[in-house]
Amino acid sequence: MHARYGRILLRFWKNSLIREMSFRGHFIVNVASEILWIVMLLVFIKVIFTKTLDVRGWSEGQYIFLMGTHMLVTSLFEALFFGNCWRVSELIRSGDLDFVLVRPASPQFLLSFERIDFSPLASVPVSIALCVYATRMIDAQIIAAQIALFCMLIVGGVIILYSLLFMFAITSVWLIRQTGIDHLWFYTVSIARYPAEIYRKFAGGALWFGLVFVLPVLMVSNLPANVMVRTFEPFMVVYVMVSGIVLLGVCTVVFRLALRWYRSASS
Amino acid sequence: MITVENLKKVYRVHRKPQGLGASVKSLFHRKYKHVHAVDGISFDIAAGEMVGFLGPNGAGKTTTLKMLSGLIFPTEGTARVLDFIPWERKNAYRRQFALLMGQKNQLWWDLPAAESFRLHKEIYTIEDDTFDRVLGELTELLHVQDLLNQPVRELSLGERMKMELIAALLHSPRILFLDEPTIGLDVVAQSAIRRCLKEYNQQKQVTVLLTSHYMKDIEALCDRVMVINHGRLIHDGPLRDILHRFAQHKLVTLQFRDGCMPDQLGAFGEVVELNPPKVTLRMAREWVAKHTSTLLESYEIDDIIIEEPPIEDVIGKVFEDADALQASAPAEASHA
Amino acid sequence: MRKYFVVFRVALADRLVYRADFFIATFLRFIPIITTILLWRAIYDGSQKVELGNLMYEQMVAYYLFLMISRAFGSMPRLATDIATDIRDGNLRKYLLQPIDYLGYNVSLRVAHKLVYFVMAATPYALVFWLCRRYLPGWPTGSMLLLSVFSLGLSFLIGFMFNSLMGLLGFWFLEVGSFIHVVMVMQYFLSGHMFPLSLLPAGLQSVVTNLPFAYETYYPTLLLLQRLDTGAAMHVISMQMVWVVVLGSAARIAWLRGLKRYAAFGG
Repeated sequence: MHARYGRILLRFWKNSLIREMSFRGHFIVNVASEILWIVMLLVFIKVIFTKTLDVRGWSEGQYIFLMGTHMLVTSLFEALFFGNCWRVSELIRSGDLDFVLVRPASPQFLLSFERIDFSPLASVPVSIALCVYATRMIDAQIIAAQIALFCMLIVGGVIILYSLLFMFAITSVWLIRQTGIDHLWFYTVSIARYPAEIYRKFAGGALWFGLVFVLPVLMVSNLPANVMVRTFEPFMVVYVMVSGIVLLGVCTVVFRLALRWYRSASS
Repeated sequence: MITVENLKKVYRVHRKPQGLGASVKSLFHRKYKHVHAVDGISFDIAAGEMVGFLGPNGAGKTTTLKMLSGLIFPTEGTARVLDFIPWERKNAYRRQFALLMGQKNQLWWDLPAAESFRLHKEIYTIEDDTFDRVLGELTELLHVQDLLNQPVRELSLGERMKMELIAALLHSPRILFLDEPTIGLDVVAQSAIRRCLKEYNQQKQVTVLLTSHYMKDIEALCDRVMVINHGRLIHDGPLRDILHRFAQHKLVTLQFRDGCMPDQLGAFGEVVELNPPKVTLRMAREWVAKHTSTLLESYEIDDIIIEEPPIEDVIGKVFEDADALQASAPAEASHA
Repeated sequence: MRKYFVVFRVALADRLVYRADFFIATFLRFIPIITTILLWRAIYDGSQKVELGNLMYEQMVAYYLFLMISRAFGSMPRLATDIATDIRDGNLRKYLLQPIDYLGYNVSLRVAHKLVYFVMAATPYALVFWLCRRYLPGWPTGSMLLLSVFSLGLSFLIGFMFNSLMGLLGFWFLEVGSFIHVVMVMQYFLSGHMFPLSLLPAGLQSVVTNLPFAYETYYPTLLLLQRLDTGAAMHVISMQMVWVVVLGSAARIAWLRGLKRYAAFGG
């Protein structure tokens, strides 16, 4: 069974690649605007660090590393899952989920993995370069175990993002909203890009708590960055990995419920 | 193979408000009504049959089809297809049928159809040699060999539909559910698709369930027709039986020799068309034999054609009558 | 003139279809502001200075709040790409056949959208501003208020003219969409959206503040912030008018020249 899903996945990737090849122009533009964006962010960071030596305990180098980590996680999510989440909300809107439901395979798998976007993948080497540059800046001594943990937490971050956003997309069977998934993604990215500590000053820390422990959006970028260049908190690492699995489970349950509802109410 | 008993599907629908004032009111006070999309349908279909569902838009044909393919839960009633309950959506069941919907695209838009077919192969776990053989047969049958490697978006509507049909038949399904398969296609494409379906039905004994509001599809393909309106089955049997059952008239076209056309033909039937020297009369079925022989004896007639009325007209009338019945017994409920 | 009003009225009804979740969506729009404000709190705390970029912390917060308002006037989402698409897909023909000016039609559309947005957004905006009242300057004088309103109106026109001009480039460049995307990315930085332009080093600042983006968003925001005296305000407004004329003429010329080219190629 797993071999079959593996082969289907391979086919998805192959098809996505063929598709991307026919859109060469897009790729270049996306890379260009990514680089432009990074330049603007770096200017902002330079401006910030002429005014202060640290942002809630994050030095310039650590801050830049966080920026690179954030870019890495979000690009991976965008490449693997964003397009599919978008497609799910579109299919629901147009009532076209039918073709997926008719196939002898898990609809969640088919819907989650069908497309890969290669343009965001261009940001991956750039973000890694940014991280390397940052580690040089702070003269950090990195051991292999940290890198392994870093990779694991990146994967965990992507799983958390997938669970939250896929759930959001699938709930459009119940609700037709103004806030599309592209807006939600934009807000998620806006929130997760900063050091978690800045959120402590709002609503007496309630927001910080919510974004770290309830919807662990903040930990998606912060935690891998911390593990590499700041502090290592084993509790947080375990918590985030566990919450990734739990959220994935919740997402699957919600998906099943949404399908049931779709199949009762649609014509 | 397919057994359906008392299938029902009822929806609760908001009534969309019109205009500004009503929009504001609907913030506070919602009106619903119950729509009986399928209202107690029962039938049996044997293996290898080619059955048509005929009915106007909103009659319940597509809803029934979707229930049989497991997409929708019924409100009431039972159905068994190939000994499966469709809405349980077992993988074993889903391998056995295919769903094809007119004007809906399941192939990857930017890719050649061939790539989508390969994806199908993996999803349905088709063996390599089976896949090659079936694909070869189908592309030859539909004459699309050259088009396999062209992106789907570059194909015409007819060509696209042929590819969709191939995709549907690749895994050698035992049942084919078709929803308006020839809608929007040009005449040539329509007949190509019909030919393919007919051959597949005859050669491979594939059971076909087809919904359409094109008479031509039904006439060309289906031995058996189920007429549906307002969610109910009005007729279930061969197509010609519809005519015998619902059409009380025949159309008789007479061509009179020049200058010999009489003025008063009203006694024989209703004048439908008048193009001297031709005239077309609508005649009561039982009187056709007698009237035509009388006419032939009394007048100089060069040519005579006796036809059934167009089935569309007959069916249209059937629906009209059913609508009239429906209008006198509203089934609405208003809730706050 | 009447037909523009009809277009306006139809667009109005269309927008009212989105109800309660419009409310939510508008509140959600403030998320990026909250995160930015929290970041600045951290920066001010770290710098231990009272003023950064000539702004105290309260004024920095107010800057981002007022930015929402000037942005609400000046932003023209999808205008450029819609125009470019109309040109590329040949939809322009439809408008050319009707006795209505294409650009005039678009202005009506935008005015309608903006008005509806303001009406619907007034309550959530008012709520947020009331909650943040301690960051805001006192009520402006009558004349300052008048100048601010006038400036915002000009901001709308600058935004409209600039975006139309970019869209009209579609007469000459098929893939103008990529170019538009890149300009939009840069605009985020150049319009003072990311941070007040006063934070930039002097050299860069003098260049950036002379671009139309600064007059579309940055200066009107400063005006609302009451950081400009009457003289400076009048200067800003006159510069805005200059930009409106320059961009408007460019757009009109592009329209006329482009049409000739369009007709020549058989549209």
